[in-house]
Amino acid sequence: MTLDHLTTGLRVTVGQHTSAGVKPVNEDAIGICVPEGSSRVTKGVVAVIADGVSASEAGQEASQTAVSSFLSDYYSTHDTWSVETSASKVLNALNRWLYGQGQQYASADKGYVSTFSAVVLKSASAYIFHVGDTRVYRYRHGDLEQITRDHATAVGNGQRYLSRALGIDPSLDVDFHRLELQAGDVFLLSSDGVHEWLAHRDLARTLEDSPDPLHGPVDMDIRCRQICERALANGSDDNLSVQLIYVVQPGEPEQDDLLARVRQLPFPPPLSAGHVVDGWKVVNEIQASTRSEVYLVEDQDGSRRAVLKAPSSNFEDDAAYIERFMVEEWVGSRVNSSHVVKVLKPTRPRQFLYYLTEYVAGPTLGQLLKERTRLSVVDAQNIIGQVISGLRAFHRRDVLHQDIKPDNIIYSPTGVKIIDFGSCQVAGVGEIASRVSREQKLGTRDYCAPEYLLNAPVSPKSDQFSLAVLLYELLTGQLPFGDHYRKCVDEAGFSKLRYTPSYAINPLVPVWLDGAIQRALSFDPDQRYPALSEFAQDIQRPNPAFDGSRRRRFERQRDMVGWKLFALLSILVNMILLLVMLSS
Amino acid sequence: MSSTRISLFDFSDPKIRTLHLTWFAFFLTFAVWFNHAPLKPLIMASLNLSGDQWKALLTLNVALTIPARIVIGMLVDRFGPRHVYSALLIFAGVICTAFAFAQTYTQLAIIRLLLGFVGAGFVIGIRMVGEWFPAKSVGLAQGIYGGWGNFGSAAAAFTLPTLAVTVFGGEDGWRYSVLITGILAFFYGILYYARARNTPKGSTYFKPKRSGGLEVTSRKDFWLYVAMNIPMYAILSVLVWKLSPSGTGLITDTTAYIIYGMFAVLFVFQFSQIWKVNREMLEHGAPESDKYEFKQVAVLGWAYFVTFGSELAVVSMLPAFFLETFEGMSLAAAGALGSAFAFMNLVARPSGGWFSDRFGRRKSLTLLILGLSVGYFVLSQVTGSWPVVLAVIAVMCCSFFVQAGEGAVFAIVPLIKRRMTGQIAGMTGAFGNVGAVTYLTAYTFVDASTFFLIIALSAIAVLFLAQLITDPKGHITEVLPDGTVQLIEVS
Repeated sequence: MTLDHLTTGLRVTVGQHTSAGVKPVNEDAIGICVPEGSSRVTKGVVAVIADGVSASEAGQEASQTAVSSFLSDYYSTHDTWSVETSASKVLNALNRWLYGQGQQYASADKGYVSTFSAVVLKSASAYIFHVGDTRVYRYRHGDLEQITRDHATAVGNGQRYLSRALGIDPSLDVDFHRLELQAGDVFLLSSDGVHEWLAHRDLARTLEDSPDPLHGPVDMDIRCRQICERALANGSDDNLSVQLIYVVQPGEPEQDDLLARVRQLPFPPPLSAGHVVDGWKVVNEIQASTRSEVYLVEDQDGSRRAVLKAPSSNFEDDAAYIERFMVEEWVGSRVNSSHVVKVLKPTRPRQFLYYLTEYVAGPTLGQLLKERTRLSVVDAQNIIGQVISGLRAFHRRDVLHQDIKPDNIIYSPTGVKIIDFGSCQVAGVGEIASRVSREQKLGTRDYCAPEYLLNAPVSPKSDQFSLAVLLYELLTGQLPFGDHYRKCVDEAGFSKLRYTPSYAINPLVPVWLDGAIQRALSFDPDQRYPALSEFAQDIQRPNPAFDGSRRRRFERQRDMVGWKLFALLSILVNMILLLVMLSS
Repeated sequence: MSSTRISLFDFSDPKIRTLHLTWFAFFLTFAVWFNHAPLKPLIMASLNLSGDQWKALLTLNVALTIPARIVIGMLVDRFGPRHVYSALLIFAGVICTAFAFAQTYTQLAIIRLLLGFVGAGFVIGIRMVGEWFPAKSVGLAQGIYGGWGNFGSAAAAFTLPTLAVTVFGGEDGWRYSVLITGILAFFYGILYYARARNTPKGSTYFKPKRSGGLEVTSRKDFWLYVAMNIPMYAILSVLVWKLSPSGTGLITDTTAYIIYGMFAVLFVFQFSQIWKVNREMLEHGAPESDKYEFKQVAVLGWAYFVTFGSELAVVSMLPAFFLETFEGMSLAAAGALGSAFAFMNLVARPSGGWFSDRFGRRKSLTLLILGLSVGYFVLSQVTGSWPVVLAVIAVMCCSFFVQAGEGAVFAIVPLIKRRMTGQIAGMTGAFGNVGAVTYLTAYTFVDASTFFLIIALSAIAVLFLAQLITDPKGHITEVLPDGTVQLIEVS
């Protein structure tokens, strides 16, 4: 399934105009993109304005590059990325490139430097990214409000100096705003050739007598041209650019309700062996829980096997569940790794709500642990290495798996594979405004990082924690904090937990490996590894930071307990003896 | 409810183990809850009770169950079914032991009132089974749980008189047999804690986001829902009035006023809970996709009122009814015959579900309620001149319709609003208890024959209400001979 099920009610009318004015070259650049179909839902509508800095040698090239590459790069970012992530990644790359180009010149202000303002309208929100002295205004109920703040300093004799812009410095600081949309909102983007030469009041007035925006883009373009002409008449000596976006109707959460689309597919009835669904014949039931039912199916001609996951009819009218089920398939089809089970594209139209994944033969790590209690150190290292590479494929897509546990990993002859995307959190989808709540805690308590329980922000480091619990369990057959971890509900509870080093249970575990586990198990996410790749490295090779002294310290403490007990016992015996002697 | 098979003897399957553990827990709570019914003459003789006092005792036994269900439901949400069931069984054991040693009527009355809590055990197991069984077999599993557990009252009626008279004998025989049920419950509570788990390994026990009240989806439904809670307070107040000096005089006026005050507080508390759960809906309305008719829930409640409510009431008085109607019948025989009513649970409840699936919801429910009202009418005509066999057959026929009716009600529950099945089941179940209190309170005013007639007439009234049940709309699937699953649109 593609994103066809995602539609938005967002409707806009746009217009723009740019002219060189009295200058010989136009160093302003503008661009608007109003995509159709799924891109409008996942990425939204974008308007960009950039003003190449006149002092720089290549102002025109810089502004044009900024606009064109932002538009093309932004829309090619991953569908599941959030607006903020997408835009900031693209802008950072853009800034680096401009800065690199500028380095060929001796002085920085002669480089490729441009201001940059962008408005992204998605679902029911506007996202504004801004650096420099181009401006974004919002016109609502007769009020014109300047959203952005100019990054410019006056330096006397009418000259202004840009304090921030693209291409000045290798590190970029972009202002970010997020606003809720209302029908009738107008966003106005302008370059300094316009807003320096029109009083705020005059600018607002030009929007008051706005022509009926329903007359289409031509009228909006004319409107923009009129604003530029008015500024020019006021004596503007710079390039002039204006863009207008009229919000006819924001993407209303209710209208966008994924459910409305999804509902058309009914849940499949309970299936048993021999039933055929859309040409897939049920071989047997793999697992049925209160949340979902999973069947092994094969093509009717017996040519290939697949796994069919169907929603549980317990949730037939649960909007949040259905949406999550849809997202689950979507996430699965976008994560690409040999260590993650593949979602199959349906070859026939579906009558029911379900999805198919490749069939991977083999036990889950949970079943393996049941048989063998614990795995060898080499096996565990090898398995975790593969799980990490699968997990990184999730993280690269801004997706958190959130349910790493032995039962969700299959140990097959062709390698280890992560199954089940049922708990995944996708940054981009989190923004499609919807009445449906996403706040449920979905993972399994024993493997869930503390931040889930404490309602602190979650990150890829939360998956790292679960992974460390898994590694610990593979090595020892036990959980790092025993059954106590599950019962913790607050910070105080976590602080009372005692970690039993894995080598205390399985003496074959090297101390450095336990050190890596312990670091990934830190309750404070900042204390964990900044990246999974570092964790992977510390699992495979000894990190000198985790030397044998830890183990000796632990053993010394353990021995001390024995000695203390012995001492206590001897005192008791002596007291009893004393009492006996005194009484007789 | 498509009944995929459940292999009941597959003890390696933790689901099945949990089901067996849990239905037996329910079985024991029912045995304890109704252990007094078959021992009536022994207890009355031992403590010199009057007939009125005995009837009041029967009502007290079920009175607290109504509010207890609310409390137990909240405890289950908070602590999970394992802890709550264990605690309830241990509590039942202790209270039951106290009953065995009671020396005065006041003691008996207070203990029976407390035992009302034990009757609220049903909801705990429903939650437990719901956590363990996937949707396609949960209906059957809950049928087994409910049916076999209800059988506990029959088991008590069947065995306790024999134990009391034949095995122990003497004036204190009844005390020992009551004690045995208490000890069993106590130790089973410990066993249950040791063996049962709230969820399958690896799953998390979710506390429901909203508890304490049912979510409704329109203002009209909100007020209807509030109104549906009034009969419960009304009937409890009648009970208190009956016990006050104006009636049998078991409690003083002051006590009665205190209890009325408590009812008022409880009502306000419950209203606030209902309001809290529905506040957002009342302010913003419910999304179209989420709408359902509360009317359906109300009708199911009333249907359960006449089915389960009458069952609880009849089970309490039937052994004594046999003993008093037919001269020369032994206590053990009366107990055994009295258990005939609950016996039918094993097959009748599941059949009700099956009828409902097969012949349509409304039609099945209508026919079953009609059947039970005829059945109760027949029972109202039973006199000492009837052959005992005929009376027993009449009881069993009647109870078949009653319990099949219960099964039919619970077959409709999940179809109203899937997401809220648990809440709707709770509401419906509570109405069953209101029915029990109502009928037993009525019994304190009248004789057995009129008592049966009252049930028969109230069932006729519900018969009309049942016509408001609508069959579900939407898609229906069909399996072709070659196994292809196909969709049929139903409008």
